Amino acid sequence: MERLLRIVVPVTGPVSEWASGYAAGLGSWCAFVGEAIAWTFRRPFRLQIILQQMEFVGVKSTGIVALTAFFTGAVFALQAGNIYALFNVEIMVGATVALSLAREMAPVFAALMVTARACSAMAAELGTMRVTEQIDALTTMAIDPIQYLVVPRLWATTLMLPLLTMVFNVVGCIGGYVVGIYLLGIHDGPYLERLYYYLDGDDIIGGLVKSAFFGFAIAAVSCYQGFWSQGGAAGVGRATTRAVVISAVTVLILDYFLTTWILEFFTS
Amino acid sequence: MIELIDLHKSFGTQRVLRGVNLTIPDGKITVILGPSGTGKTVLLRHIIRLVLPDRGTIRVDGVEMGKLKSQELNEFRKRFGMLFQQAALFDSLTVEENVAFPLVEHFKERDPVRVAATVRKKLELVGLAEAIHKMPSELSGGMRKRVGLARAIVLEPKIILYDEPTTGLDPITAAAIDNLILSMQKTFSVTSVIISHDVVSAFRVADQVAMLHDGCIVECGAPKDFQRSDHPVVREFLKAAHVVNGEVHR
Ligand SMILES: Nc1ncnc2c1ncn2[C@@H]1O[C@H](COP(=O)(O)OP(=O)(O)OP(=O)(O)O)[C@@H](O)[C@H]1O
Ligand SMILES: [Mg+2]
Repeated sequence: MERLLRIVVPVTGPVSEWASGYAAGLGSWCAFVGEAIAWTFRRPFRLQIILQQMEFVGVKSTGIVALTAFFTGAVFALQAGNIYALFNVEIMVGATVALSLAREMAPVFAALMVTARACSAMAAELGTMRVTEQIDALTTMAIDPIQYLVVPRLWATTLMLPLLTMVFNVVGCIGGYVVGIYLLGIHDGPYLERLYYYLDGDDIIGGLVKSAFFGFAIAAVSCYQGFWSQGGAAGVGRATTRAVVISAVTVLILDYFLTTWILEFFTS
Repeated sequence: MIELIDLHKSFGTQRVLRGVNLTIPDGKITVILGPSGTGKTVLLRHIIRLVLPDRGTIRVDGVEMGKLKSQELNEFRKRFGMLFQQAALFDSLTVEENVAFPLVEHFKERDPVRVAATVRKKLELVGLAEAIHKMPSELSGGMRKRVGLARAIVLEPKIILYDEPTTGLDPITAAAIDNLILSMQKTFSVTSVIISHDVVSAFRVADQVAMLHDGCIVECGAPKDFQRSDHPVVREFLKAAHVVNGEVHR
């Protein structure tokens, strides 16, 4: 038995350590999110800070989201147009662009842009506050730092990401339209007629629901990383990197599961 | 009264506190001395439950801090003010907003004119009225510490914890801060816990002096008794600071 252990432990040791560390991390993340949700419903409600964060996450991200949306729609129309020309179905370009934007590209890309622009800043800001003891200072002043710092960021992102996704949808379709009509020379009547025919309200709503989940997830991940960062400036840097990487991966994985759920929900 | 009973705290393998026992009386000034890196800051952070002890109890006015739920704890923390060693000012707010922060956030004062007046008064007490519109990043270390002090006292709490209030200040400003701490104790009968390296100023303000060494309180008593202690570490500490019988000898 002992000899068996001596062979097995060096192999399983690191693996189980990694697994238990990972499980502990996930557990404390869940506790963190649970606490944030609990503090949401307790007084005082800090509406002003939520509005400030909504401006930071939403309004100030609109430009970059619109820019990426335009070119995403444009390049998509270009590629689709070239392929559809082989089958003589160029009029389907508009519908293809709009559908894939509404269902997949707008929620995912908007979430990734917000992760890069706003959530990295959240992690860095909270991380700096942690290592310079500002979070401790809040605590000693009897202000719960999760309520004061995390709750506004969490809900601001959850509320604003669907709006940004809608902006992405609209601007992306404009990008597709510009390329389709002016560059590829598709007739705009049939182009729009096919678009209206194939695009359902459910497609857009499904995408928006997804993006709300994405918003919650990326803000929760980034705030958690920043909030519990340690080890000076280098630690804040690591926390920010982790926030962006984990948020991006989370969005893509979550996307798959949400999509299966949404397809089920909206088709049944 | 703050009672610390058999506090133990380790970070990894490093045992920082190894059974601290200390009673801090109400309305008095207690100074905790000790060499750098012995865990004075860690001890202070235990009192307001910024860190939980591995073992031991902390009682404030008979209430066990470890047993409070988060909302009760927040209610309880309103009795405290704390000055951090590095001041821990909010760097996105101006000096004025920093000092006003506890007032505004706890809705103690809704009238902006009165908030501004209170803030100005507290900043005058620490001699910083002219820096009111600066950002923390534009202040020197000593100025930052004094802003932190103004913020700690703005709600006029019953218990104030000071982490090295006079370190890094010139002798005149340091004496002014000492006097401020004394006058707060006299007028509001505040309970003060001061961490310090500065033996001279410790004896000037303290009602009780304690020495933290190797994770334990090795000596504790009134300044007079403390000076007569024959604990070797205390003797060495006092000798290094050139203090003999309360006088500075060089
Ligand atoms: N969060 C922490 N993680 C790991 N070790 C810590 C932590 N906080 C403090 N320590 C360790 O505890 C010891 C005591 O630290 P503390 O900050 O209390 O010292 P101090 O007595 O306040 O010193 P100084 O007078 O220089 O401020 C140090 O050796 C430090 O390395
Ligand atoms: Mg210290």
